[in-house]
Amino acid sequence: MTPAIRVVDLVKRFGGVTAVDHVSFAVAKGELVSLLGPSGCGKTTTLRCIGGYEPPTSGAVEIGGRIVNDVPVHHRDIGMVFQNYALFPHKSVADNVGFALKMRGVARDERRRRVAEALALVEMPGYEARYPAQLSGGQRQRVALARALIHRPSVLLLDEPLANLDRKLRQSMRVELKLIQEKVGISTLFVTHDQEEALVMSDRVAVMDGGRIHQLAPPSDVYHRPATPFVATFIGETNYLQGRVVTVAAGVATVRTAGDHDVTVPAVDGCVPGRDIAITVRPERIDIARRASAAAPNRVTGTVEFVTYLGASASYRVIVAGGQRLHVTQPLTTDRPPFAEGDTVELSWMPDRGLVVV
Amino acid sequence: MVDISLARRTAWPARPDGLIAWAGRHRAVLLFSPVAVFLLTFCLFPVLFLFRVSLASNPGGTGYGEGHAFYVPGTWTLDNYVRFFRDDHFRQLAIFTVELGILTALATTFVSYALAYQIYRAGPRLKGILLMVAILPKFTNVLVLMYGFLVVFGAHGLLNRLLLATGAVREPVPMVYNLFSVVLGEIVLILPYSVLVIAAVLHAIDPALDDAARGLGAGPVRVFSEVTLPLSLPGVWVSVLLGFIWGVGAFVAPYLLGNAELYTLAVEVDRQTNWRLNWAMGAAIAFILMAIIVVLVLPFMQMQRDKAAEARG
Repeated sequence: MTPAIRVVDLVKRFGGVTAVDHVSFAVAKGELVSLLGPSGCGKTTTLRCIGGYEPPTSGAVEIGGRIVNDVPVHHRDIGMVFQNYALFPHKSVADNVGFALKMRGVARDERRRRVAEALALVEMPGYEARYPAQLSGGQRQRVALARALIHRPSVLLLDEPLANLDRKLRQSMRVELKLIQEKVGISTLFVTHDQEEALVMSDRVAVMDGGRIHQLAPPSDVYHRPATPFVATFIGETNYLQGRVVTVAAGVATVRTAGDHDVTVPAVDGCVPGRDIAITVRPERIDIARRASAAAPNRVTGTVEFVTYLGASASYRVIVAGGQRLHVTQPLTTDRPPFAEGDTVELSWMPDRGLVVV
Repeated sequence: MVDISLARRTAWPARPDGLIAWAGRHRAVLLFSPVAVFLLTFCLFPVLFLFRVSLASNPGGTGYGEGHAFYVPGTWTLDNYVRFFRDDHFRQLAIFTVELGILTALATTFVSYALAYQIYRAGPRLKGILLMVAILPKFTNVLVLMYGFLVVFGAHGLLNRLLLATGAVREPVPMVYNLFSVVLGEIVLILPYSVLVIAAVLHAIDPALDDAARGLGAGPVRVFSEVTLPLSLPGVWVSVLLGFIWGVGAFVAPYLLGNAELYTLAVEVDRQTNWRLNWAMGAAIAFILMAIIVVLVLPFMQMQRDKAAEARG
C-alpha cells in the first residue's frame, strides 16, 4: 500500500546550518507517527518541509504517492495545527472552521452543515458564533483541530499542538486527540518535544537529534530497546553502570563493574573482552530487596542514600560497591516506603533488561 | 542587623520624608503637570483668545489707519460666522476643502499601504532601505520639499525636459499648479507617518496566520484578502484619519503647488489674517475648519471604538 507520507533522504540547510540531515521515513495510511526530540533537532523543519512551508535543500517529499516538492502549500492536501493554534482572530469560529471549504468554493449551506459536523466531532457544537478571543486554550485547540480536518485532507500535520495547554488539560487532550485521529482514520505526523506525549499517542515514534532520526519504532520498543545512547537517555530516565567486559559467550557478555560485581547483559557489536563499557538499566526494571533470592541474576549490593516518596511509588538512590549510584523506582503497596536511608539492600535485574552502551 | 536598619530609618530627616510621601500620593498630578502647563499656555489659551476674536466685529477696510487694526476689541457679534455661511465663495471653499481631505486621505492611504506592505514582505536588508525611503521626506524642510516638486515636475522641470527630449510629448505636460501636484505634495508630507503606522500593524500580525491560511488552501491573493488586509484595517483607518485631518487642514501644498481655485480654508485663514488684516474673519474661518474636522472625525472614531469593543466580545 502506498504510504500517506514518504520522506526520502530529506536535507534542509539554513545557510551553513544543517537542520535536517538525510532523513527518510514513511507514515502508513491511518497511522500516527510522532517526531520526538529536543528543540533544534530538526523535527519542526521536517514537518514544515512536508507541509510545503520550507523548500527542501535536497531529497523528496511524497504525499499519497505523489512527489510534492514543487507543489505550493495551498495545493497540498494537508491539514495543519500550529502550536499557538493560529486561529484567525477576526473570524468567528464558524468562519475559522469553514475556511478551507470557502477556499475550495464550497457553497454556503454545505459549508454550514459541515462546520456543524466538524464542531460536533471535536465536541464543541453550537460554538459557531463565538470568536477565538472568547475561547479557552483547550477550546481553541479543538477549533484548530476541526479547522484542519474539515476538508478531509489526506494527512494531518500537528506542530506541538498541546504545548500551550496546562498539564491537566494536556493529559486529557492527548487521549482525545488520539481518539479523534483514530475515528477519522487520518494519517498523522505529530511533532513534540514531550516524550510522554509521544509514547501515549503514537503508533510509532521517530526520535530525532541533530537533524537525524535515531530510531523509528513503536513506543514500547523505543522505551525498552533504545537503538542509541541518545534514545536511551532522552526517553525516560535510566541508569548507567560502568564496567569492563570479561567474557562474551552465546550472545551474552559478562561485565565486571567497578565494585567487582559480575553482571550479564545481551552482547552487541564492539562488546569484546577487556573493553570498558556502560550498561543502562531503567530504574523500574531493577528489583530492590534486603536480600535478593539466591536465584536472582545480576545481584549488586548497596546502601540507600536517598528516598523520594512519590505517593504511588518510591524512588531510591542507592550507592553500590565501587561508588556508583543507581536509581530504583518501586510501586508502593504500603503506606510508607519499605526502605529507609542507610539501609543495606540488594539490587537485581534480568540480564535482558540491560543495554550495552559502547 | 536590627540596629542598623533602625539607625538608617531614623537618619532620614522628617521633612523630606513628608515631601516624598506627598509626591507619592500625587504622582499622577505631578507627572501630568508639565504637559498641562504647556497645553494651557500654548494651546488652550491662544485658542480661547482666537475664539474671542472670531466673535468681534471686523474692522472693515484694510485695517490700517481706519480706527481699528485687525478686529474691534470689546464688540460681540456673530457676523463673521453668518457671513461665512451666506457667502458662496466661502461655501465653495469649505466644500473643496472637505473634498481635498477625502481625496488626500484615500490617495495617501493607498500609497502608504503599498509601501508598508513592501516593507512588511521585504527581507531584513531591503526592509531597512525601504523604511529609510519612507521617512526620507522628514529629513528636509517642507519648503525645500515643495520647491523640489517644481524642480522635478515644473514646465521646465526634469521630467518635462526628459519627455520633450525623448519626443514623447510636444509641449510640456502641466504637472504642477493643479490638483495632481497638490495631492502629491500632501501625500509626501503625510506618508512617513501613515507608512510607519500601517507597517507597525502589519508586523504585529502573527506570521503563523499566514501559514495557516496557506495550509487551508488559500493562495497569495486569498491570504491577503482574507487575513492580511482585514487584520491591518486598524492601521488603514488611522492612515485615513491622519490623511483626512491633514488634507482638510492643507496649507503648504495648495499654497505653493496649487492655484487660486485649489485654495483651502487654511489658505483663506492666511489670506484673511495676513493679507486682508481681518483677524475676526480669519479666526471665524479657523473655528469653522476645526468644527468640520471634529464633526466628521468624531463619529468615525466612535465607529472604530465600537468595532474594537465588538472584537473583544
